[in-house]
Amino acid sequence: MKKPGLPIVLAIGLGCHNQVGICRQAPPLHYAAREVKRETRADSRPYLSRPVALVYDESRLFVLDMEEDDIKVFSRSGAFEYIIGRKGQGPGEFHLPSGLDILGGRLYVADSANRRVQVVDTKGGYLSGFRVPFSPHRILALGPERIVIMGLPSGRDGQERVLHGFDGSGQSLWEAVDSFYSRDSVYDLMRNRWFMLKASGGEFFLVRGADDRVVRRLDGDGALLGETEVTEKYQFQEIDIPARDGKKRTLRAFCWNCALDRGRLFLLGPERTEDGDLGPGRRIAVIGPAGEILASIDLPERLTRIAVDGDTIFGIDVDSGLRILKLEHK
Amino acid sequence: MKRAIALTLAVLCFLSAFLWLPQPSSARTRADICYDDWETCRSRAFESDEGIVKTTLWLTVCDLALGKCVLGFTKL
Repeated sequence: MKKPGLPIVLAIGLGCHNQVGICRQAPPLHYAAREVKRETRADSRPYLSRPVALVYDESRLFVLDMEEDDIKVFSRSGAFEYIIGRKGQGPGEFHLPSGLDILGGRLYVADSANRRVQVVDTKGGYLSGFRVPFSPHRILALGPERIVIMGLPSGRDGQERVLHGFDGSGQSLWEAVDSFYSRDSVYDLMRNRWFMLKASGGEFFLVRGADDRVVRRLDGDGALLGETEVTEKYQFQEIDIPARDGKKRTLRAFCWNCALDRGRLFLLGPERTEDGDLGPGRRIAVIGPAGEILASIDLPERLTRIAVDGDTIFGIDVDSGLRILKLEHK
Repeated sequence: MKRAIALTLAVLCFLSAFLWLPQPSSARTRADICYDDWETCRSRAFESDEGIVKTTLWLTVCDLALGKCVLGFTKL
């Protein structure tokens, strides 16, 4: 009888549940996320009004507050430190900012209602900015000279491009990915919910929030490099939404939010609410490079936004509270 | 004399018509403001984290408000 090969032995020895290929059949692991007791300072614990994005670096967590037009900065243990920006149109000021990214100590802000991108340092010092001919919705800094901006398709001019590539000075470089268009602007917008996740090597992933389980990998020029289909074991959540013609259309919700960490995709699933709607959920599926489910994570409560760093999950709950969670094996 | 009065009246009528009608630039400004408000409304709705049906209804309200604004039924 032939002996098992070295790769199999190695894979088992190294805990191959996180690997692709030979261990793909391994059942998913189950984790529970437990809340870490947050550091609080009695003097100031700011109220997050409408946190819409969160990013982190080695020492801090940055939360973009769309309603307060600022970035609230916390330590990684959750202690509030300071605020960057305020409402306005000047340098370092924001109006309904909706997207945030961090790269090399610089924060990139999609300053939506001001129709511009602003770059500030992590202390709030204004560095640069440029105007864009649409309302920027999400932003991803792949490099100082490669910034990807996602717009919300208006549906006014037919099919529009969702992604726009710019250099650091605001020069338009490329446009990619056609939006969905059916003359029903509301339905189209719900289908045009996309998420951008930074990958290594100046590339990024594109995940759709509904009707599609394909994860696309693109390069810094917006060219499609590959596609991975998430396993059907991870199921859509269907819901009927009112459509323009008075009928109902079915939307197959895929994820409410998502994150990428160490090559693993974290999909925050939608969940049925008490009133029959579909809202943010309390379970995360961890997806491997081949689209397989590696693990599932049960959250203590429903989260609307997530960012993951190793065994730590930074999240925003449905009451706009910041949550810091640690994974524990079930 | 009659010709002068008629001419003056004609000129006044002509000018008043132009004064009364909105100029193309100001009409465009109004539409721009309406669309800016619409984009703001959509952004807020889209980021609301309400349920999908509630968000859909909110977006529909944004569209209705845009229509009323462009047609001049609501004050800017």
